[in-house]
Amino acid sequence: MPYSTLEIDSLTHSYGNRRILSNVYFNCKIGDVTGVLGRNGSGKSTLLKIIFGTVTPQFKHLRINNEIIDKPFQKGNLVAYLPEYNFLPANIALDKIIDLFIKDQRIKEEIQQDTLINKYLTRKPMELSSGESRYFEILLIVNHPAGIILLDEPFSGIEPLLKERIIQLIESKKDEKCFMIADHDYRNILKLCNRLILLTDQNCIEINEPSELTERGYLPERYV
Amino acid sequence: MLRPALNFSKEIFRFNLIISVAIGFFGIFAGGSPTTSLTGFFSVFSFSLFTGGFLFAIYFYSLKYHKRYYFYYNLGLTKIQLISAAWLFNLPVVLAVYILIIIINAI
Repeated sequence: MPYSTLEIDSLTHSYGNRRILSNVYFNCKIGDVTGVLGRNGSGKSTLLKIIFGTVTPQFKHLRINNEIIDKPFQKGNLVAYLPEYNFLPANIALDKIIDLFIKDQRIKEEIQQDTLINKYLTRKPMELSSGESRYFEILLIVNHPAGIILLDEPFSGIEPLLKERIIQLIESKKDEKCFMIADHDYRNILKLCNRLILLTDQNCIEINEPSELTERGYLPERYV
Repeated sequence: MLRPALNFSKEIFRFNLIISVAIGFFGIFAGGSPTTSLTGFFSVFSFSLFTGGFLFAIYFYSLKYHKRYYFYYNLGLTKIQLISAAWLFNLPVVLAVYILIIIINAI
């Protein structure tokens, strides 16, 4: 049974003397597709890694389904994380990767039957284009049994048609999972997400109107 | 859990094997006769599989392919579990090499 709520409180993190996040509060639940925006170095990736459990902050209070958890990834089925760069093992073909990553037979077959991926099942990840490889990674992470899905730059370096497929993929799962998506492709983030947060000045600010992104100095005026 | 850890071990073993074979050649110089050179090679090679070659392989992987750890993290595996599994993976290879050394010495 996937977990449904995430709450992080009093999150504080620095890199050396540089404070990235200060006393941040954030929560999400199943059905939330939260876009995480922020300028370079604002702490978007760090926030996702802290929630996943691979970065330890100075202080945090993280609850998943009202249970305090230190490193959620160690539980195996709570949180899944798509890192910014390719993360698949290079020594095995796609069908073996699916077999290792996905336990549910029905979901395995669904991924194998994906119209983009099914012709590459016997190939290794490095034999795919970067866009196809990224799409495959997203396909795996979105189909992970975890209830909380963290995606770091899923649209980076992806052609428009594939971006549309990724959006459809996330939309098809949004009623059963909670998504957090950090990306600079704010147009697709605005299109896909039903919540927006902006990381700025070490804080996490809920955005209600796209115009606030300009007011808060994230977007130039002519972009909105 | 076992199958992903086994795959990680195979990834590490490839690097470890190359490094340990290279280090193993130093063992040849320690032996005088062809037999002692051969056992010298295998002794240093198997020792390296468990020690320097293994550590260097982990260091190289962590330096160059550190993002791949996330594949295993998503399956609930920690870095310590992965490295322990990769270290134990060497055990049958080292045992086989020691049996080979015993056979060579017996001939």
